[in-house]
Amino acid sequence: MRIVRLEPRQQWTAIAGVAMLVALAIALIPHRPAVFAILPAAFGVACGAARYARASARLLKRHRILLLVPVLTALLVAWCVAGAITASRPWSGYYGIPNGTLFPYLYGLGGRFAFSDWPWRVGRLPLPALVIALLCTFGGFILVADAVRVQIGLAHPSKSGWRSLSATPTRGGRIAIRAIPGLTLIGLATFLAISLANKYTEFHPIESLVSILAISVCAAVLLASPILIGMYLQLDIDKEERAREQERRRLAAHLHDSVLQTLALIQRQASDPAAVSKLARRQEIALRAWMAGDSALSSATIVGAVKDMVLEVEDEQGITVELTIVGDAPINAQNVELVSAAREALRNAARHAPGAPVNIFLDVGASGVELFVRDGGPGFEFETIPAERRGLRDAVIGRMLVAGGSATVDSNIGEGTEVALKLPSSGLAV
Amino acid sequence: MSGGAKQERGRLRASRARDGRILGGVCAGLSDIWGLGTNGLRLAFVVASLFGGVGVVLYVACWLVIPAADEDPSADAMRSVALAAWAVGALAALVLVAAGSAAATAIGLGWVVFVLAAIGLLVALGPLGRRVPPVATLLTVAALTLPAAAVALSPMRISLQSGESVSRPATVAELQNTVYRAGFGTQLVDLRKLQLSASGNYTIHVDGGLRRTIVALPEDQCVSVRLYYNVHTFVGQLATLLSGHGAAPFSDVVLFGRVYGASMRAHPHGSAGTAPAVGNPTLTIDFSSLGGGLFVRDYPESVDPNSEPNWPGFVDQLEPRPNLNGESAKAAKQMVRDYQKRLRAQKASLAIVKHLMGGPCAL
Repeated sequence: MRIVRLEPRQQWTAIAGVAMLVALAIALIPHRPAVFAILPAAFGVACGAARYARASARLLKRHRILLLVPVLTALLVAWCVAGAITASRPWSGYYGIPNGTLFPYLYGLGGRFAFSDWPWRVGRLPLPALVIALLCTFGGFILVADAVRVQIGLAHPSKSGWRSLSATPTRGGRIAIRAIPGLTLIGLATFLAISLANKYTEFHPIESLVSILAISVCAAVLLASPILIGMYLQLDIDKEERAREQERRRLAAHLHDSVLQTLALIQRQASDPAAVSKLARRQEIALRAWMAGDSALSSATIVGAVKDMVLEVEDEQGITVELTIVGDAPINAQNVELVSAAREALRNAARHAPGAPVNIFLDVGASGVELFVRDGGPGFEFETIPAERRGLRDAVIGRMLVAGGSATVDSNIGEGTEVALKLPSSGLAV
Repeated sequence: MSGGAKQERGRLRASRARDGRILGGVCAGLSDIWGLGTNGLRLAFVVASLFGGVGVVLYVACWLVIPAADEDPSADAMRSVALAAWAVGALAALVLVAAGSAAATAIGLGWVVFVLAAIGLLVALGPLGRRVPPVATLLTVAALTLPAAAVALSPMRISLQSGESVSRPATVAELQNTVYRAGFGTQLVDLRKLQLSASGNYTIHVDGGLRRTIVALPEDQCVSVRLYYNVHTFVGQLATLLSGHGAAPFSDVVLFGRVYGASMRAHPHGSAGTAPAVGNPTLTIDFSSLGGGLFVRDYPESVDPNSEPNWPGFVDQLEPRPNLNGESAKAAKQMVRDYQKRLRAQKASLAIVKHLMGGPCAL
């Protein structure tokens, strides 16, 4: 026989529960002295209270609003009990209260406080049921909203009151499970409301149908509103994350073009201190200007910017570029990105196809800007580039995507490479 | 909205403002998102509230779901308001359980409640219940057992009878060996066909439940009655209060038109009786109820006590003389003539009622 070993936190519960069971069993035996049942019941209650008194006090201290629950309950119970006890008692003459002064509307009842005059109804609806329905509605609404908060990551899945009282570990769970208590409460409130409405309409078919429909709509609105707001917030979070990712890509592209590029050149020309110093100086000036918010490009048109860029790369890499230009347009933020992407593509060509001819073809038209960088180098296969080599991916393709355009790389082994950058006209501020 | 909970709160542009807020800071916090401006958003919520309060619901939902600007999302504390809602839910569930177990015990299913509570406790403490918080187990067991024990200790028992139950005992033995029980319905114990021997002493036990009981005696035989009554009005009044009935249950004990233990009292109990009559049978009625009243008297064969429990009628006051102020002489004369006609009829019927009220022993 295997003896189940109780965890320490279960032991008091076991003792108190068994005492209460014993109390019920004794109470159910006919003709027993009542005290035999009352003693174990009191013992059980005392055990339970002793075990959870401190945890409850702590919980109440942290969440004062919880005091509202016992207070409301006590009020409701007192209201019902007082109504039942004072039912039909003659009140006049008690404590010298003259007729009608305490409850002026009781004139004509001979001063008797009649049962039906206990103020427990609103219209024809019993007050306790109304209060319970309202409490359930609020409670369910709050719990569903809380489940939504946890679901979209705005709050941690927190311990329920049970678990904070008895230090049971918190369970995770999907929203469907976490929302069950709230849904149950709203269901209970709906049921109560429908039965109250039926009482009010006295089961008149049309009126009761209309009231049931109205109550269902209310319940649906109550359930839908936190869920809809949660979905909206989810969209907001996603949008914010996308924006952050774009910003990161832009930054990576810029650093790649400028700092990493210069560092690579410095490595290559490590034996020439003058060149290293010149490169470092230029990069420092550029980086400071960029940090201060100045654009790296000073030209007012696309063509000017591309020419400046080509001269800069020719100077830096020691290559010659053949430039073909059709059309022109004023520069804007998207064009700046295009020029930066082109600079990067050109540097790639200089690095991977040393000595081979490099062509740039720029076409600024009504439909947008197109720029092709071609080289007659050895070529490569785009898929074979390791993922950690970010030059082409971030600085060219990523940058063009952020700017709202596109970049395609067409290359085959032995046939050279063509990088095509396209920016649709919506990106042109004409 | 699928997938598990994110452990880390995503960056959120929406938040409830602390500065410039009126209520929860929802409008002040969201104004830059929709481009409506704080006051425009406030107006939108107010307008939406005019459509059946949708705006109020949406506002409260926003307030509950959207975190405050300075809220720490990594704090593991449950928000107080959610905890209070949870407590309300738990309380509602416990009250339902308690009411159910009390009702089950009152109709005699106390041992079923005991077995359920015992099985629940065993399962929750066993290996299957490892993840059940002990305090939930304890509260549920308490809600099951304590109200049931209280009901079991109290005289609160109610049978599942409903509707109109009618008993017509055929023999004297049957009369005395039956307990006449009613629960949620009315009951009639009709003794009019029964032959009671002149020197007999009979005792019957009546449990009246929540509604009235009638003990109908024969019209042609003087039966002397001793009545012990014990009415627990509280339960009946609480039940009518909670079920939404307007009027208090009829809790009076009426013996040949005389009212004892009127509903005015919280716990009417005591004894009453008619004068002992030599050479006539004596009927002792041991009556208890949960608020239901009792009528004891003779009824003629032609009267159905269920439809006319107050037969032969009420000893009413006579109608006062009409106010003739402002009437013309002719109209006043006519009114007085009509009044005197009505008064004669009332006096005649009152005489009959008074004559019949005391029953065959008084005739």
